[in-house]
Amino acid sequence: MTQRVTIDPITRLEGHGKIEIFLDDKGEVANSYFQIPELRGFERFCVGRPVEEMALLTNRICGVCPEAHHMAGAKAADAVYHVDPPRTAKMLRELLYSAFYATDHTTHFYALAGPDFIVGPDAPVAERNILGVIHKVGLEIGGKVIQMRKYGHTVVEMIGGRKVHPATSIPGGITKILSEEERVQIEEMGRWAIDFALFTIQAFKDIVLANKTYLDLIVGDVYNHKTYYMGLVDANNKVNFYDGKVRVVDPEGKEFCKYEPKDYMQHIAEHVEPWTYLKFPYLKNVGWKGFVDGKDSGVYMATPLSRLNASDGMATPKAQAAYDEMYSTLGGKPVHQRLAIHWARLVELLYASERWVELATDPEITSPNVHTKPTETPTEGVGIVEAPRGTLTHHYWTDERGVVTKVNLIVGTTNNYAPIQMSTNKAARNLIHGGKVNEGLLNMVEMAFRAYDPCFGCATHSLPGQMPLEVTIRNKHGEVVEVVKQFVD
Amino acid sequence: MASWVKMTQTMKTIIVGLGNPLLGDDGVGWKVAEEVKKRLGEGSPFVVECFSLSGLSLMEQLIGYERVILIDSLNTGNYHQGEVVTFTLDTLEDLTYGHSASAHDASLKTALGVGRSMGETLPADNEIHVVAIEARHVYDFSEELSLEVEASVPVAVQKVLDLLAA
Repeated sequence: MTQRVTIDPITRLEGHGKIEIFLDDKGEVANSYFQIPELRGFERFCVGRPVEEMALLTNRICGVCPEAHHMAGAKAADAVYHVDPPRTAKMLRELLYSAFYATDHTTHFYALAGPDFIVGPDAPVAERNILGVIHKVGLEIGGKVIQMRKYGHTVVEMIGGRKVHPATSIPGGITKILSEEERVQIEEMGRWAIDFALFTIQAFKDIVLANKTYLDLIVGDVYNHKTYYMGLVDANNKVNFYDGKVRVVDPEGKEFCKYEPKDYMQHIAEHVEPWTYLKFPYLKNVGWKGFVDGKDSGVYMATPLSRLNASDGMATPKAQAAYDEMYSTLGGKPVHQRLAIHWARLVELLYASERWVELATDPEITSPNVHTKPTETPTEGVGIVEAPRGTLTHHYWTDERGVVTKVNLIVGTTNNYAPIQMSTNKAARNLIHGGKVNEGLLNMVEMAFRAYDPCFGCATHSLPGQMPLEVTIRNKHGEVVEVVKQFVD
Repeated sequence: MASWVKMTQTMKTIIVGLGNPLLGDDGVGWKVAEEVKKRLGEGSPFVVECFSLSGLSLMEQLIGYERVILIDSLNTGNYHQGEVVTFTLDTLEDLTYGHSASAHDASLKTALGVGRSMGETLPADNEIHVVAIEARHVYDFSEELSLEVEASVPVAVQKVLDLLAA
């Protein structure tokens, strides 16, 4: 007979996911299950709509990364119409996306990672939030975080036509031309973002890496898994968020495959478990061997660290230097330690900021040539971008009028469902012994999946959006012996 | 003369419909806000917006206002489907409680704390009113409200108008 510990719902995680940890007679972890409620019926909801609406519709799936859905939806619609947007249109989309990335990664670091690594995993729960981070590091940094977000929002609105949910990408390009006045502002904000990214990386080094306890956590075995890694790369195998081919490296860092977005179904399959509605994507040509590490297991990860592992470097100079420093510190490629995802995210923050300026200073960025009129009969198309939290795939099928007949989405976090499961399970097994379950241990278990920046709700949700962490401990007869509630943010 | 005219002279107010209009009853906040906007008519001094935002992003939209009315669905199981509940943010005891929809965000209360500590002008918690409608069907993609929640829209609209006139 087992004991059962339920963490429901998970703190600082969208939706109502929960972890169930089953303890054996000795109070050791027998197994754990990370369960997520699935939003239902999206495919059915899309059928019958014009495909050009999809970039607008899908960005309403998610209140967290609508820009990612907008871009994947726009690229898939381009593919459906067999149209290649002009260079300026692609650059404008990528410029918007770079500013969004910088904003999103900033928020993650200071609001989610910060509570663990700046305030500390053992700090009182009431302090483990972004306010606690600001109290610890000072108002000046808080002001920079807010400033970074303002700049990101401004760029999204300038190029995307409205706040938060961009609306300007259409099949064949974009509907809004960038003025020189806007370009100058965007360049200035981008240069500020580069300084902010460098400042943040320095803060990470000073606060996290200089702290032996934190460094031990990052490089230790508790949060370590050897899997395949996935990410979009450009023609030089450098990280790209908006475009390119999907590259997968094996646990030794060797290229396993590289494919065009349209070929994703030849490489990715989905495993079903009876205890969850959500499917587990895996590498079809390796095969599903269960929730296990290694070269024979088709489990892959798609996160900032995966993108760095799957690439040959960063396409901008300062980010490349940060990339080199990370790998030299952690012992070379690939890095398997999951908590290093936080570091990789900051390397990407710097890349996004540099790319932001690079695109804003391209002589063609203000060109009026931002749309190629589609002329071919629409059929089927795939669009892939890197969402901040994983490779995002949109696949649409339409009839000859461009009306959607079928939709398949693999959202960023879904790629990581299997590795998150494995990480949570491993952390629980390492940290919970003899039936001893306390708040600190649970937070350490949660740190295993928070590194992935998971986002399952894909929507803003009803009040109360932030639920208390509830841990139910049951004896071997299934009777509740203790319920611990804590309100964590 | 409408009773809100006097109010507007002293308090800059925004009415915000929250939720996801594609997720069934989760879109009720938008429907109520849109109806309020219609009822207020052209020339109303009140700003009415609809957002799918929470936490820091929502806080950022409230900067500069003195009074806020948030309209959202409520998914507690503690009320009848379609029941309309009103409260102010200061009655939520825990700092970390409130509307947060993201893995990498903060609750609204925490986000407001962040904004205030940065010197931003934000309404006090007791000037942030929440009109919430209990709803169960918030996980299925649909643009339709369930019958019970649809029936609650006029009730919620009146609550908002009453708050504006109070």
